[in-house]
Amino acid sequence: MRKVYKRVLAVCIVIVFLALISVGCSKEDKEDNVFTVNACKTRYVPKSILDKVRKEYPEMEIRVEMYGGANFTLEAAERLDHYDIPDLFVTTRNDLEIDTYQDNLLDLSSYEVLNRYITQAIDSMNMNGSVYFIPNFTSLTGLVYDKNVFREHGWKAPHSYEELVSLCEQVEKTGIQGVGGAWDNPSAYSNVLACTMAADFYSTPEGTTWFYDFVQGKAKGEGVIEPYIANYIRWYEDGIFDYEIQENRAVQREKFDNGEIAMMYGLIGNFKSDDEHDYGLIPFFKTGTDEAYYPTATAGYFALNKKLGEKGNEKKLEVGLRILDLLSTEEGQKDMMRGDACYSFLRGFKGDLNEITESYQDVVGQNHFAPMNVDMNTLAATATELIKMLEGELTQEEYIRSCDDIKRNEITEAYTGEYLFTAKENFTEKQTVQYFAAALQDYAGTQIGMVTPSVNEQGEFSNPMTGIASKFYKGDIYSWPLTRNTLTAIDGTSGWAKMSTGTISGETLYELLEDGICWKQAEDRMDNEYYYDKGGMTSPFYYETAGLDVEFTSDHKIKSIQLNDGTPVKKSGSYTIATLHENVPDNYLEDLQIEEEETILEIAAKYGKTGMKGDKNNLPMERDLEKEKKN
Amino acid sequence: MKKQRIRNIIGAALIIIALSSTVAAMVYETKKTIYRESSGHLVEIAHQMSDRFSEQCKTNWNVLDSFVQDYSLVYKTGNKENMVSFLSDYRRTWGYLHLFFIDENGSFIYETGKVSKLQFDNSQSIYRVVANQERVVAPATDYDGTEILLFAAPVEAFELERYTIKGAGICYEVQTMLESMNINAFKESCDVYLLDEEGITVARSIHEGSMDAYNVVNAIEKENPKIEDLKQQLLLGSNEGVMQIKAGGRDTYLSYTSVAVTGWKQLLMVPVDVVNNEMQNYTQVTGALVVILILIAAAAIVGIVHYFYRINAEKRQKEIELEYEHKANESKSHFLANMSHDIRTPMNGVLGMATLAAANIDDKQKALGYIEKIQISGKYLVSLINDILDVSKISEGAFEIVADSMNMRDFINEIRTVVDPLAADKKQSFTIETEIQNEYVIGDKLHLNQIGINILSNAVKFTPQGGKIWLTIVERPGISEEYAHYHLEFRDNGIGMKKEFLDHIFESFTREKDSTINSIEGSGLGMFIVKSLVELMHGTIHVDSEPGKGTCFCVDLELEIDREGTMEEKEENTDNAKFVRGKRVLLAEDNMINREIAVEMLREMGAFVATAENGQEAVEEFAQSPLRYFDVILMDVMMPVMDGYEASRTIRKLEREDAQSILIIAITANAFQEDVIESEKAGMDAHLSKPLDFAALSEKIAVLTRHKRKG
Repeated sequence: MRKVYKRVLAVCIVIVFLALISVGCSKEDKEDNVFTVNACKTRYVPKSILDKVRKEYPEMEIRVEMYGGANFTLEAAERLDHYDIPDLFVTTRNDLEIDTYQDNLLDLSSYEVLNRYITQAIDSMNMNGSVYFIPNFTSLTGLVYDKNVFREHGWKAPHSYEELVSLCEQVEKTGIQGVGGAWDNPSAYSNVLACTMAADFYSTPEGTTWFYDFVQGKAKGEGVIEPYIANYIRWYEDGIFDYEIQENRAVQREKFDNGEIAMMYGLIGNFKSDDEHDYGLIPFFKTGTDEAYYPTATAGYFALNKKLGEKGNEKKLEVGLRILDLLSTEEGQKDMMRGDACYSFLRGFKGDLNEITESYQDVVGQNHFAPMNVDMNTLAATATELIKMLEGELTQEEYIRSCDDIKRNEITEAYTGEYLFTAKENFTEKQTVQYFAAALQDYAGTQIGMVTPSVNEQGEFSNPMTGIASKFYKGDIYSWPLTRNTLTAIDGTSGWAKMSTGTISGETLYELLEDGICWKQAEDRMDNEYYYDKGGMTSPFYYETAGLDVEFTSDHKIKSIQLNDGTPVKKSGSYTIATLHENVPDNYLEDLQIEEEETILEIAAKYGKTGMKGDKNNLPMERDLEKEKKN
Repeated sequence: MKKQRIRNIIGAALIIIALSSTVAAMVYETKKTIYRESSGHLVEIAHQMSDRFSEQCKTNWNVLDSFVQDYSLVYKTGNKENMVSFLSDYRRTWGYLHLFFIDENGSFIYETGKVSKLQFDNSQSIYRVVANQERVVAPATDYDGTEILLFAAPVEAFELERYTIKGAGICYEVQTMLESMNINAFKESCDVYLLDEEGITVARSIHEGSMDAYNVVNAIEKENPKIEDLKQQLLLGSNEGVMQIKAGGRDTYLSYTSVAVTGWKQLLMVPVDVVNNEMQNYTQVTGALVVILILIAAAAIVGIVHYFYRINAEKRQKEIELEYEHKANESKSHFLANMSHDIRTPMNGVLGMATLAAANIDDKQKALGYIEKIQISGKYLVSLINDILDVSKISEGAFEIVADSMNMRDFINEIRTVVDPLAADKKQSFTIETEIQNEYVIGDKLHLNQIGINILSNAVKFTPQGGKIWLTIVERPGISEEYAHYHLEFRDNGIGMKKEFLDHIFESFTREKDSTINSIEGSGLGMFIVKSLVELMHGTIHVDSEPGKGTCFCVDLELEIDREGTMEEKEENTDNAKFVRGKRVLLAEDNMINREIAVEMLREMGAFVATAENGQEAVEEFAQSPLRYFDVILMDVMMPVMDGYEASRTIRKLEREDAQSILIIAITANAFQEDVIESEKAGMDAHLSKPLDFAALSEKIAVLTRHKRKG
């Protein structure tokens, strides 16, 4: 009997073991059926295309990883640098970093899809015979003007640099600002530089060649770009641009819409003509000639994860290629453009630029499109220097040398600003939000710091856009890269998101911590067409806290809660908190105060640099004093 | 035989292997030939195209150089109007898509007067022309989206209105250019790719479903990961060759050649089946020839094998026949030796005793003793001859078993009648035990008797005086209701037999050599006949014996039950001689001695005898005799002039009253069944074999006379 019992037991154990294995396998299989795509509110694969692919591959779950921060470009670059990319990778820049691409991305050169694009567009991305991206559509940059406004004022669209200068003079005489832009943002100055250089230099064979050599570290700025920098400065000196305005894009755009600004610097894709507005686009004039060029900015690039080429991922590869296939059609390109007047690299694509470029048919007819070849690392890293140069604090030569230094030292955008701390390992998204909550609490000296992520688990955005995005990757954290975790201020004022402080009742605190916060959905769903429900409110966004020791039950009810000093939090009590403006809605707080001096970017940087008091022991971070000294 | 069969199988297997190998080798060779021929053809076409393209390039450069020089000579700098007119003329002459000058900014001033850059031209081709002063051949997308192949060369800078001209060029529409190369080989299924040094497609002329990629070499490499150093092989230096690859999942020939003027590579890809299709006829003819050759070879091999096999078989057959003949001769010799011995022995007795009888003729008692021994020897001689005849018939397969109604009791009684006196002579007890339900069966009583008497007479012979002999007959159910199974067991407690002899007991002329039985007579044919008769009756026989303990023969027979059988009328035991006495007998016998013996014996028995020396005489004698004068005719069968059968038929046909009723008894040395049947057919009433047993003759006459009387 005992033997029989043992045998039965052994059989049972084997069955249970096999069952566990099969459960494990099925779980893995399930993950094999998930195809991921990254996106942010303005850069993504159109939902219509994803839906079509979902229909064609019903067994494959196509999951979009939404980004809710302010620096998608850096976010994408960081994900690429840390081998943390989805199956279909959307990015905004192509820095020709062949080593990184080789390790992360699938070489698309052996696929037919590239042949659908015009030869020059793909050739420009060719690296030793390999191509890792297909390009998104391209948008023209220039000075947007409202033809109706021009007509009202009797202004004429300029056809030379000189005409533009005199137009600006003419405009300003009427008390109207000449050219508007996001002048609070250093990037705007870099972008203008890219545009003037596009017209003056990148439009020439030498300019194109120099740029590719420079990006790859084979050429220097010194001795080459001086004349073009001088030309750039001239645009300011001649009064076309005004670096002293310091207003953000929203404010400037409002003024433009109200007729207080004559022209608006930017991408034509951001302007849609309607009954009231009839937009046109003034090109950039090539210095010393009567030629003009439209600088072009590629809206992004699509790549496939290299893992898709590995055995076992055949289906995913099929899905990825199918998405690229659909994107590379006229319909797909138009879906991406969302109806805006943009241009495509697709062969035979019929763009609709007639209205926009009505006054500049010669420019379009001569194919005078010049790439805004922006070496984002270099130009973004030197944006501050660029402004200093405009303000006369740096000479042109010094600025150019700083560009060369950055390139020579291979300093990327992720390593610009001040050294803050070193992440000992990758943070989770929650830990990253906790860091910001701690920074807010530390800076404000409140009992509690609390803040939500900017995107909830369902991929919905908060409304208004507030919260913390993304996560820190293992390694040194610098101040500028915090821009990918944060958002700009929601009140239309210049700069990054602001801190709000006040007191909150224990009861409200309980409510917020347990239920999270739901927002009314935004009306303009074009920003995020993936995850919004059909109406009503968003799903909850849950807070991460600092200064509190909270324990939740499995159904997210508070089991125990106390302040860090051990004082229990009572519903009847009242507590001081720091948060992001409107992240805890203003009406939940008493004694509400909005911090105007320091933005979240500065507060978070300061905390990293000097603070780290709150939850420092719980977060995998440390400071390297040697690196701090180098700052 | 088994070895021979294995040899045959191995031989056949080897032939199949050899044939298969031949076919495989021929297929392989054919494939190799096809590949060699196809690839050679492909390479040739590739060279032609490459040469044609190189020539085209040279022409282009020449045209380019000449129009630049001509323009310089004619206009030096000129204005746009001059240039348009000049380039238009050149274009008309040479048929290019466009001719143009290139300014320092990379703008093209076309022969149409249009000034434009290439679409989104951030490639470096134009830079190489205007800045690096290089000649460039490059693919591009023209200002209006047309895919072009660009030939551009630097020129000495000159001013053309507001443009600083630094280069000049011509361009083709890619498709038109490739078509102009007239690629119509391989039923137009040939895909052509021109690749730059990185494998990037510069120009291509391909078909729907063909491989299409920005970098064709990468695409080929991806689909053919097992081909080592593919990229190097295809792109490095002036490599050229041909290989078989997979392209779009299809087996494809790939020919790669350098294009001399540009440094590019030219790839030609043609599906294997398309190329091989051109070789189809060759393949089919070769295939057919191969098949025919193989069939001929196979037929030849089979013929040879069959021939040798037949020779072997014939040889073997001859050997068997020789062996058989030898054995037959041996057997015959052995038989003759036996016969000689067995006949000489009684003959010696007859002659010896006759001599003694003659010498003692006066001593009646002695003479009678000798005569009696002569009779014994004579009887033995007759039985020996009967045995020999039986053996002869059995050997010839002429022995016939009769299927008549018979009574098992009669059979037993007849056995008993014969064996009892023999056993009694040796003071042996002979016991018969029976368990029989069906007495009447269909069988051959005569030969059944022969079987029983042969076995039992042996039992008597080989059982010492005072011994015991048993015959047990048991009836068991037969294979069906119509049959009964009879198990006959002949047992004695005689001297028995050694095992070595038992193994040969049923062979002819077999007698155990034993001192104890050497004195016993026997032809050695009896048991052979017994076994043969049992087998002819579809029965079985087997024997158990142990020296000193006795012997037991078991015979098993399946006999059909005769449900309607009736007991034969018992003959009255009467004095047969009286039926002979006073009878008039016509004796037809050609042999004088036999005739004399018969005449004497019949006269001894009181008969009146007339003689005839042949059938004719007998017929005449009978015909001339008065009606019903003769009572019986004894007719020898084998006679000169007219044989007995013919004579009997003639007599029966005579027109006289007694022609049908006269008794005709055949007397013949032919004691076979067919002789009996033949005599019946000839109208004879009975059949007696020689030497004539006068007792049997008397009995036969008595029986026939009674029957006639009854009839």
